[in-house]
Parts: sequence; structure tokens; C-alpha cells
Amino acid sequence: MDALIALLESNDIFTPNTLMQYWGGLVTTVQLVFLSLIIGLVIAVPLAIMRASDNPWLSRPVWVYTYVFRGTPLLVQLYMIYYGVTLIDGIQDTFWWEIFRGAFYPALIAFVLNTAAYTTEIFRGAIEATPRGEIEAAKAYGMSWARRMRRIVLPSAFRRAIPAYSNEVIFMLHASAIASVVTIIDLLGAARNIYAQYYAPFPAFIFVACIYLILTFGILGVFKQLEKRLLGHLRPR
Amino acid sequence: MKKTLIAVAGMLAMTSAVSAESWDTIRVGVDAPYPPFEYRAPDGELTGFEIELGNEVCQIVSGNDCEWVVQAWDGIIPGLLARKYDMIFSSMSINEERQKRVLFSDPYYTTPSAFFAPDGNGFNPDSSDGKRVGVQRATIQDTYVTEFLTDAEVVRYTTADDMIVDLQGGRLDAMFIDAPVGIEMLDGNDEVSQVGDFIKEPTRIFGEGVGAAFRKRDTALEEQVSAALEQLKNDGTYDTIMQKYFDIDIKL
Repeated sequence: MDALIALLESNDIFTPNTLMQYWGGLVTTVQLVFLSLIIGLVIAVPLAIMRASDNPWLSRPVWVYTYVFRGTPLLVQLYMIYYGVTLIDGIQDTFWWEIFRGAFYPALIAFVLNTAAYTTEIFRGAIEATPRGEIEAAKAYGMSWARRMRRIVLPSAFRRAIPAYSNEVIFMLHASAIASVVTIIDLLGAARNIYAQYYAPFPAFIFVACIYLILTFGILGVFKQLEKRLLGHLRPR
Repeated sequence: MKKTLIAVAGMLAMTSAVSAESWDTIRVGVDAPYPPFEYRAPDGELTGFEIELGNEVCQIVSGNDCEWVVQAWDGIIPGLLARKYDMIFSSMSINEERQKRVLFSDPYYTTPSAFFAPDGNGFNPDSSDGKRVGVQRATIQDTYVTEFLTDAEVVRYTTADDMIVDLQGGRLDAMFIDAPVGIEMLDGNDEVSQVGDFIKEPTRIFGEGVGAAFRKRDTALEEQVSAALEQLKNDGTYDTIMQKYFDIDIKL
């Protein structure tokens, strides 16, 4: 511990002050990613069910949505939402402006819409991969559509979706770095401030890269445990 | 084999010796647009006070116009150190922090900074509690608001135009920027105006003016450029260019 303090004191760039900036950035990044993943997940489940439906009036609109949000760069979506809202006439005078004034909520909305689009497609694939036999068996038991969904289709679809969804979580963490272009001080924003303050790009960015790496390994660890618990029956014996 | 190596080494030594003494073209880093110092004319050509002055300097030192390299502000010193260009001529204020990294010429101008705010929002630099104040990242204006407007929420931008868009969109209560740049960028905008006086104190932050910056080892080039600036200030060329762009006197 003493050695660490001595190291910090002899260091120009990693002072307690800049470490606090990194800490603030870490908190913002985690909030932004966690909230967008949770909200995105909640939106994605009903959308995935609609998208997997045979009724074109249900599946087509969702297809358009996922097509647009997966087909355009997240950075463009962020710009559109961040700068787009200021063009709505008179929004500055409504209570909405309290939300849209800062950069956090516009970024959160862009991230939610983006991750929900990808998650929808991941779940749609998992739902459509449900073995026919399971559905036929459920029908033979006289289960209604809703009960079949709840008891048979969704539980097994969620399990099948876990490996693909863990990728989406990690992509989201990495994509969140672009929040710094709209003045949010997330991890990368903090690194950019420190880089600009000391004209030292390498230490500032290598440090932030290490934090992202640690976060990524943390997420991987969580999903590994989840897969072990929930997908144990699929492992080779 | 050995002979060839020696010959090649000798040639390399000669070329580098030549380029150290006389410069054919000087590559100059500049952060554009930053009107009226550097911006693109409607035909796409770089122009502005520093572009014209810089070209005069390059003419004296090398006999040619400068070769301008556009570089965003927050990477402008790393770009110089990485040899992407040999000189920065981009409104860089001389201060201690930067002097650790680069070598400055004699100062060639100084400008005050000022707050700009949308009319009627009642922004006042003395009571900025909870207000959102925009600055360009890593500028002396950034240092100033960080130190003196501790109550305010400081929002840092990479480029000045992003900041102006957010000021006009209502996201910022005010911005703190080089006064001539603010006046020029908001020219013809009757919804935003200057708040309070011009600010150029303390010199600890606002520095001794603006200088050209060089890598520390390029002392010969620094001396030639400082001498060229001195000559332009005395022979009236400087004043002619300045009067073209400014109503206020920025000569130093």
C-alpha cells in the first residue's frame, strides 16, 4: 500500500485527482451500459415474440425497426438523437428539456434502441430454433398460446440465447465509448480529458484500455457461471 | 557491402544536415476552423489571420508558403512531437505546462477571452452555480473555468463548432472562448451575445500571449521564425494583415 502511494506521488499523470476522474468515468460508463442493457432487454422480449410471429402485421414493423437500427452506425444514431431533439420546436420550454438538456439521456436512448434491436434478433433466432416436438407436445397437453410461450418456448429460448447475448453485452460496453463524443465524461471521456491535460496519449489510453479489459473479463466470468448453471445439460459428458 | 552501408549512412547524414539548416517548405500544424485566425474560404482554401501571417513567416524563412496540416486541437502537440509537422501556428498561448513539452517563439499576438450567453437567460459569471458552461478541452479557457467557476458544470468540447451548436440548441447556459473567435463565430446571430468584460487575467493562466511552437531540439528554426515575426511587426505587414481581420489591436 505504501509502495502504491509512493508510486502515485512520484507520478505526473496518475495522481489521486486523475484517478478520481477515471473513477467518475467508470461510474458513468457502468450506469450507461447497465441501464441500456436492462431497458433494452425488457423491450426486446415482446419485440422478439412479435418478430417470430407468423402474422406479418406483427413481424414486419419489428423487422423494419431492427433493420434500421442494425443497419446504421451507432455513432450516427447518437448524433441524430443528440442533435435532433434540439430541432423540435419549443422543446426547450417543456419539462422534456430537463431530460434532454444534458447528454446522458440522449445517449441512453440511442444505446437502448440500438441494443434492443440486436437483442430482439438474438431472441428471435432462439425462439424460432425451438424444437417442433416440444411445441407439439405442449399443444397435445392443451396448453394455450400464452402458457406455451411462458412455460416451454421462452425458458428454452433464453438458455439458447445466452452465448450470443453475452457477445452483445460486451459489444455494448465497448460501443459505449462513443458517448464521449457528445460531452459525456465516461471512461473514454475521462481518458481524453487527461490526455489533453498532460499531452500524454499513451498512458491515458492504455490505462483506460486496462479498465475496459477488466470489465470485459468480469462480464465474461458472469456469463460463464450462467452458462454452467443454465446450459449444463448441453455440455458434453 | 560495408562500403555501401557507409555511403548510405553518409548520404543520410548529409540530407539530414541539409534539412536542419535550410527549409524548403515548413509543415505547419493548425486547428481549423477557428475563425478569424484560420478557416476555409468559400472556395475551400485555408485563410485567416494566422494563415496569412504564417505564410509571410514561411516566405521569409524558406522562400515558400507554409504547407498547412489541419489537426484537431487536442492532438496538436502530440502531432508536433510525432513529426507530422514542424511548427504549430494555431493560436497556442504560451504557458508553463506547454513549455515543458514544446519550444515557443516570441509571442505574436494576445487576445482576451469572454463569456457568451443566449440573450435573456440571465447568465452571470459571478454566480454560475449549477450552470452549464462550455469550453474547448485543454484550452486556457478550460483551465480558467475549472479554477474560478467551481460551482458551474463545465462541459468540455473537442471543437468550437460543436460547442456553438449546443449553445444555440439551448444545451449550454454560456460558453467561454477567445473573444475574437466568439465574436466572429456568432457574427450575424442576434440571439447570443457577450456577457461581462474581456478577461485576460491572471497571466498565470492566460499566459504571455500566443506563440509558434516547435520541438525542443529545433532551436534554429525557432530563432529564424522569431526573427521573421519581428521583421513583419516592424515593416507594417503585420498591421496590414491584422486590420484586415480585427477591429481591436491584438499585436504584441
